[in-house]
Amino acid sequence: MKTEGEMNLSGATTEDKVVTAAPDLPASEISLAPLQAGANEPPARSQWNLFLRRFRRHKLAVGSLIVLVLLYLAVSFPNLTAPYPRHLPLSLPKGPNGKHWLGTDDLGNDQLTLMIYAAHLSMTIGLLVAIISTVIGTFVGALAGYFGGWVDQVLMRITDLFLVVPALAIIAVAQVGLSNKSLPVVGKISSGTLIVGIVAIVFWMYIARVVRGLFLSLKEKEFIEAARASGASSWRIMFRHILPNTIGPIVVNTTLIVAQAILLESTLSFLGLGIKPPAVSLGSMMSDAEQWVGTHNAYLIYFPGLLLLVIVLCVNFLGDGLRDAFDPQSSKH
Amino acid sequence: MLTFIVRRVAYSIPVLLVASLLVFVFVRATNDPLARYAQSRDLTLRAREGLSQGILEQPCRTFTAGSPPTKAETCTKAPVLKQYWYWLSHFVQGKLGQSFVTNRAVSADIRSSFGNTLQLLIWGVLLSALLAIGIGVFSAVRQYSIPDYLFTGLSFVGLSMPPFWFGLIAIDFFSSRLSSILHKNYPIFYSIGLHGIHKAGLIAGIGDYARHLALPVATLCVQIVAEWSRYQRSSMLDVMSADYIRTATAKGLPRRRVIFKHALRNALIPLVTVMALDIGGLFGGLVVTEAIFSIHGMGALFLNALNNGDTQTILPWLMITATFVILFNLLADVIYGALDPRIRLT
Repeated sequence: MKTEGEMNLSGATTEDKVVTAAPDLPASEISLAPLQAGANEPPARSQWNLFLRRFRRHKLAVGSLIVLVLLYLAVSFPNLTAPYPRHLPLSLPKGPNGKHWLGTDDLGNDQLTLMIYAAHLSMTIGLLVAIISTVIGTFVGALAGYFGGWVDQVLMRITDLFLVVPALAIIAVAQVGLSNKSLPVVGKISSGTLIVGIVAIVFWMYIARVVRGLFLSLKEKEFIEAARASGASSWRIMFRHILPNTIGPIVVNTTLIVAQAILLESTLSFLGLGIKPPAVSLGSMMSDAEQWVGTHNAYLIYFPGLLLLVIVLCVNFLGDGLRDAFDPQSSKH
Repeated sequence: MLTFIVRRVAYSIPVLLVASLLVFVFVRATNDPLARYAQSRDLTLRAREGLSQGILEQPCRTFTAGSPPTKAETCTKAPVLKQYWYWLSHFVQGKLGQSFVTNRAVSADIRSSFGNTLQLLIWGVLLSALLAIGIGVFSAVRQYSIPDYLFTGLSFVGLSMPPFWFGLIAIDFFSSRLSSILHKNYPIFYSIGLHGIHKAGLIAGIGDYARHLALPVATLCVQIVAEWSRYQRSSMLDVMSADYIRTATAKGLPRRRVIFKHALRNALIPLVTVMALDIGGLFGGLVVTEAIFSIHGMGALFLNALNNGDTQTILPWLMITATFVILFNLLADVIYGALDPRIRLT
């Protein structure tokens, strides 16, 4: 079981290559297939079916997806799944025991309950950041790659600017400056909403670069020429003809951004620059527990960190599986 | 090559200028350096500070008010672009002003912090590079062996590891628990700072330094090794399947010589480029390690300045780290051109 999972880790197995080279037909029949069309035709397989077949073979990625979905469902309904209410009467921290499986924190709250709330916040933030930065990045990258010329120059220089200044620093400055202030248009917002907006700003550039590269090569293809010849507008060509062909790399990169965003959010919250109480995130839980390092209450650090590691690991496995499924050539090693 | 460097430097200057303008406007919009005088009774202080930072400008109006009457000054606020110009012209002359938090010159603060960060960075990068190259070459040479799968799995864990969590666990185990297991009443590895407080001889001093550095450097290495070793493995695999490697093997060279002389030297080119890019970003990215291990480096300086609203320190900090990113980007290109004769930089 374990070896099989790890085999898939490092990329396509030998079976993968067989599937992509010649679907189901022995090599000798391939040349005959067009002649006997209808009689011996291989079952039609859409791209989507091929993708699903390759993805399903990636056991570790499928397992990670299942774990993530179940986990997200479980933490989304804390009323049903949490063993205790969020706030319990004040008491000293107690280690894991029969009543509190993962112990209680220094205010006497059940740690498992807190972790459920925290994981929900962390995962939601990761998802939202990924979606927002993907939308922005795709839009910018599509415009730059499709139109080229000065549009490309301007947009890519802006992208460079965002890459130059350290992301963590920009986020931190924004977070300190903007939290607890009334902003124009949106008014006063929670620390969670603020961090989604700020973190999304530092991730869109990576998507933009990928999408731009894909658009640059795809716009020279014949089917685009055909679309243009039949009078399709630029807008339609960009979003109906080119974009569907870039879905694979975009989805893979979005998945990786989810992992990065969850890590970044927890790091910020750990430094006291992210989620503010009363909201709780996995990072801020560990920030509260830092004082217990080296004591017998160190379980307050171990459990939230372990959950965070498992979540990010699953997302990364999923991303790896998606990459192989979308593009079996990409990981021939 | 020289024209390439000159051109790239010339191109970097406008990028840095625009970045500095954006950063300046951004920091001014989010932090008010005069906010701490809001409750002050003596308005002269605010005026003096504002004038010295170029936030306020003449004419100032002097009046006497309150009971007991105090002399007060109010000045007009300078437009943002004017403030920027004032700041920039001082910044390029190296006049960074004084930090009201540490009461020292900002340039002195940055210099001493930079020294500490550099120590962490040099040891961390050296160790990471050695480990990553070793792991990468080994995994590529023994592709699909059990250690290869193990390293691949570990690299996924390393990439997914929250760096601060690794640091906390390392302190918990190596700095506290290990001592009690070994029945020592002092920590085996320290978790605070870079030096002991007592003067030690040369040998003891090196030991002390190593025991201070071990945990922060390890924390820094986890993600870097995971990333670089993956990179080294795939570039080594690419090279190993090249024709000239087959030729070298076919003419009867020892395998060791083929791997290290013919393959590794070529496989290192992409890795060195990636390393240069990553190191440039690390000057601003040690925040977490320094915060956990109480090291007075650039990251700690930044966090401290930020939490106190010390824009006099934040602005030059952001500009210096941005300069390093650009500098190391340039370095990456130059190294790439120097190592790979097929690349011609123009």
